[in-house]
Amino acid sequence: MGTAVESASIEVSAESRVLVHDNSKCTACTTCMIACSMKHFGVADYEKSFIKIIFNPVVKAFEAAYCHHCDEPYCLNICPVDAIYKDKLSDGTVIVRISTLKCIGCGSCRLACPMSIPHEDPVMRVAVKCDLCDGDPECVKACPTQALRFVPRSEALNFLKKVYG
Amino acid sequence: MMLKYIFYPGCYVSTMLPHVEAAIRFILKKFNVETIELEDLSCCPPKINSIADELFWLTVAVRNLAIAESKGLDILTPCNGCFESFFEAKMMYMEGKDLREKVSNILSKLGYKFEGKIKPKHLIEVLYEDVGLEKIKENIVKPLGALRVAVHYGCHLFIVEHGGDVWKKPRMTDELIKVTRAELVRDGLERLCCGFVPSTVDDAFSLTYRTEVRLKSVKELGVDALVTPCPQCLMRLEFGQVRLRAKARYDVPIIHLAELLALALGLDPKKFGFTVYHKSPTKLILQKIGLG
Repeated sequence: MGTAVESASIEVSAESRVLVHDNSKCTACTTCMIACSMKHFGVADYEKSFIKIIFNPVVKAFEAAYCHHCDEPYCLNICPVDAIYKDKLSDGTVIVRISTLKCIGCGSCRLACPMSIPHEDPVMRVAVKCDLCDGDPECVKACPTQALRFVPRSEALNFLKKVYG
Repeated sequence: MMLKYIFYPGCYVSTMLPHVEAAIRFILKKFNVETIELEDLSCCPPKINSIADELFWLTVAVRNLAIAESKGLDILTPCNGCFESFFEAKMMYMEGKDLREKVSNILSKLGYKFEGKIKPKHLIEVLYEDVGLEKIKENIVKPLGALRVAVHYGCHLFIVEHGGDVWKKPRMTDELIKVTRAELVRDGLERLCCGFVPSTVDDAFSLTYRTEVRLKSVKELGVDALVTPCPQCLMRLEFGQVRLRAKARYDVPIIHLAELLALALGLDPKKFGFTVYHKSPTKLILQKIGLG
């Protein structure tokens, strides 16, 4: 890996895999949130989960907020200490990571992210977010209804266009 | 042809829901489904255990499957959680990932071997596919046309092979309810989690934002009962009402799908403790169908 600035030029191909959530299958059971916090912190704690299931009973919405590992991540561009970088796996999947050693916990990434995905870890006092479990996401494996999938970007885009227009 | 399975009631049905177990056994007997019970079988264990220790979960689950396979019979379970655990364990084991070798090594030392020849079956699949909807229809002696019911599927009923139709078993559930002639009413929250799994992390959150949400919605529908094929959902939604009583009274009768079918197939509610063991007002159902 080069510097964070150099990694920004890594191109995200259509084959690069990403998480996608199907709200028509989600039951809001939060198993994905439990799996995520267990994998990364060894505890079952909703606050620590990098994926958030948002259930709204009024409009009967079963939505999820999670990192999309953007082509051109705002978080990467705004980070004042270059703690955020792109990492390409052997299968072509690009992960936008935060280096907990470099991060100073300023919260700029959270402000810049359109979905405010990065959040401050109360113990480490630095920004943390989804790392796709290094290419084998636990949330996808734990989901009982196949609402969460780990698919190529092109497939995810087509699916989301169909659902949200 | 007589149907024969290894019967795996699961811990909740066998220890806390005697009325549901009695109803299931009545239905199986009615349709000449022979059940074999084995003392060697252990806890399934629930799939959520895999998050903490995947090897432990898979080894114990595959051990149960191996025991059933040694008898040459499929496993029949009325529990969504047990079904999911066995289904995923078989899928994960047969896909031949790294864990398979580790699990088979442990099991071979204990004298077990699993080759994937048998499959776990949910009670719903056995009734719908093996017994058959027509046969059930022919045996309905007490049509429940007077009842308006809602359904609560339970998250773990949706489990299917990769890319499969997750709505297949929920549709079967709908058909099994309709065969009793009860009217199925919808509120769009049939698939909402009952709060059982979230309660292990945050009970207060789960009670307010899952259990109560569903109870409130069903109450507004004005149905006579909420029917579920899942023992955990049944318990969560019943005990949830008791715990919420200081705040609000919902009084929604919650019953298992097997109980609804047993009533329609002519089982005397007094014989299986229909009004004794429930924590919700199931007497109201009997009054509605003229048995109270």
